[in-house]
Amino acid sequence: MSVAIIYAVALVERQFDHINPTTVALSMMVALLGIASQWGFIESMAASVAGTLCFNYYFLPPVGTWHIAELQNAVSFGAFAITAFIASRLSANARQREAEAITRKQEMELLYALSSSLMAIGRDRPAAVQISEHVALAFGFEGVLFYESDSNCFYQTGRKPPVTQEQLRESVEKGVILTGEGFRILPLLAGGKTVGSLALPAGSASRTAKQSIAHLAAIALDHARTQEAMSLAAAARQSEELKSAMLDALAHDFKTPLTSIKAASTALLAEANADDHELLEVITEETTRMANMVSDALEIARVEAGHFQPQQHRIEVARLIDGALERRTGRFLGHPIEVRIESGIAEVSADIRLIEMVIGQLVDNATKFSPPDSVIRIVAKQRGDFVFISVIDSGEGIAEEDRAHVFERFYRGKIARHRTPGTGMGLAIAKEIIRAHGGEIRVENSHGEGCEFVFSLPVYV
Amino acid sequence: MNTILVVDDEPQIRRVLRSTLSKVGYHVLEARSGEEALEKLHSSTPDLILLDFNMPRLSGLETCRAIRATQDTPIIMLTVRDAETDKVDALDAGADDYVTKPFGTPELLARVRAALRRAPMLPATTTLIRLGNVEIDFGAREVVGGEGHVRLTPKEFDLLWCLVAHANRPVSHRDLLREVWGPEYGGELEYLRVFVNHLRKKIESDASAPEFILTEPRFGYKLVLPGQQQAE
Repeated sequence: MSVAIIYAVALVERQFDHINPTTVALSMMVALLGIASQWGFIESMAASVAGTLCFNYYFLPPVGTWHIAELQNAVSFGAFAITAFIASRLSANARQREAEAITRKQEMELLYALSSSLMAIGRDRPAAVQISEHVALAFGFEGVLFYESDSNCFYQTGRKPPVTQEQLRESVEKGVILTGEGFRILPLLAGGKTVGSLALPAGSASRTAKQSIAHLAAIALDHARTQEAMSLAAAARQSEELKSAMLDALAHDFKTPLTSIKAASTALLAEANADDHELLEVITEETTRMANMVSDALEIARVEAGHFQPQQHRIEVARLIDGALERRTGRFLGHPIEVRIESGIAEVSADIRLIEMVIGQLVDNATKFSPPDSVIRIVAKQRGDFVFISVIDSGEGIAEEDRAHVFERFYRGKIARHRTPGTGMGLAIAKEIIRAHGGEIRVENSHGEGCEFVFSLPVYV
Repeated sequence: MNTILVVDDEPQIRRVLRSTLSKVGYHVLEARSGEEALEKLHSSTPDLILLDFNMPRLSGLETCRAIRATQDTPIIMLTVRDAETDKVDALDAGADDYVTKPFGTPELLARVRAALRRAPMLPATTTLIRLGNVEIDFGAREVVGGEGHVRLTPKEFDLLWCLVAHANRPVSHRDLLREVWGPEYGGELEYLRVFVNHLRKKIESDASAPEFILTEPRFGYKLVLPGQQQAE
């Protein structure tokens, strides 16, 4: 085609008599520029050869022959060839840049669409699955393989790219891009950490676009994880708030009738005769005990939920122990309690109600596992910056295999399982409370000698 | 005869309180809600209010604040909550004292007596004192600040008096509680924290950097009376 155009130009110009060879050469040059910009290098080189031949044959004397001075022929061919080469390269570059710009624009549009769709992924399916699907759909990839390093899971969408799981892991571990025949594996970086890798098939998108896809996928995965963590935290908080509100309401409902009973019984007690006194005292004590049980249940629920902060105050050890025993009046019947407090013992820092609960729990346990009428001893001594309070019974002790587990939730020892009531929560709660105070609780003594539960509390500074 | 207004939505508790309080000689008024209590206070002036913490609609705290906006009548809050934050909330709302349900009648009666009790007045010679811009007339139980009349509740007044009576000397927590609230008190440090805070807000020019009512760490408080070594 290009040769035909040059030939046509030569024929047209031949029609004019006495035409200047320079004019012919210039017009051919213009035609050649047109051809070069339109079709490219090969076509324009063919046209430049044709132009040289036509110029020689028709316009250079002797006209109608191929014979001319060698130099003139070579100069015209050289001028045509150089023009053809430069013009074709320039136009080819311009066309390539235009094509690249169009591709980039299209990829930008696709990336924008991808980013919008990634922000809207739901929580009904794993985020990685949804990200892979959106990537494959947006860029028309045959298949995508997603590796999430935290869960060590692989998610495939469409046809599997020709990669191995080890390659995906390698990309994460080394944080590098791996390229092979028909695939490209990109590490997913979010917040300075590699959270996974993505294998994409070769072709279909530019390297830059693939890099951007990896960035978007990493951000989407990170975003989905954050959202999940936040909603879990919000759900947990709501559930805790609801539980707390319900327990408050229950405590109120239980304590209201107890208030009427206690106010009435204590009013009568003040002026009762000896016979009635004993009975009214039982009513009053049991009312108090029941109210304490309601309070304790509420505290236990709070401790169980793990959302409690002990309100530590300065208090004498003797007052703590007395308070605990007072709260449980009537429960230790048949078991003399012997309290021995080392002289000169320092005051401790404790949440009075919680520690009274712990002491009460330990004494309750001791009464459950001790023979009737046996003495339960409470001993307090100071060692350095801690005060150690022990509750010692004279029961059968705790079997070796049970001792490591007594502070676990719902764990009940062999003997307890069959003989005594309880949920197995008391000691677990006690451990939580003591730990929150910065102390420790443990059980000592061996099987057959009774057992000693001992816990420590920090000395008040 | 002192009149006590009992505000509780629980009829059985009102019944028991009416019976026990009447029996020891108090005249008892009743209200079933915070709203009813506020209405009753338009037509009557009780000497003491027993106010339930948990009530539907207008809560005990809201009722307490509403009463305090216009009146200085002593208020004892009755509640099933016994966390320290709840106590501080009640005292902050303007209650003078706090009794946890279920309570024994002797305990409640002791608290009622303590709330009704007035600290004896200062001798006439020191009735009028000045702390910065604030002038306090203990005889008339009046406080006048730079911006006019400052209202103190009776317990706030008693606490201020107790500090003035021991001016320029530290007074222990226990002594303050026993003198202002009564001999049964002594460990309720949160009462002092809240009431001293109230006093500082009303008397000091900057409550966060007090000039007159100073904290004596781990001991108590001291009132600095300018130009006087010790109050007589």
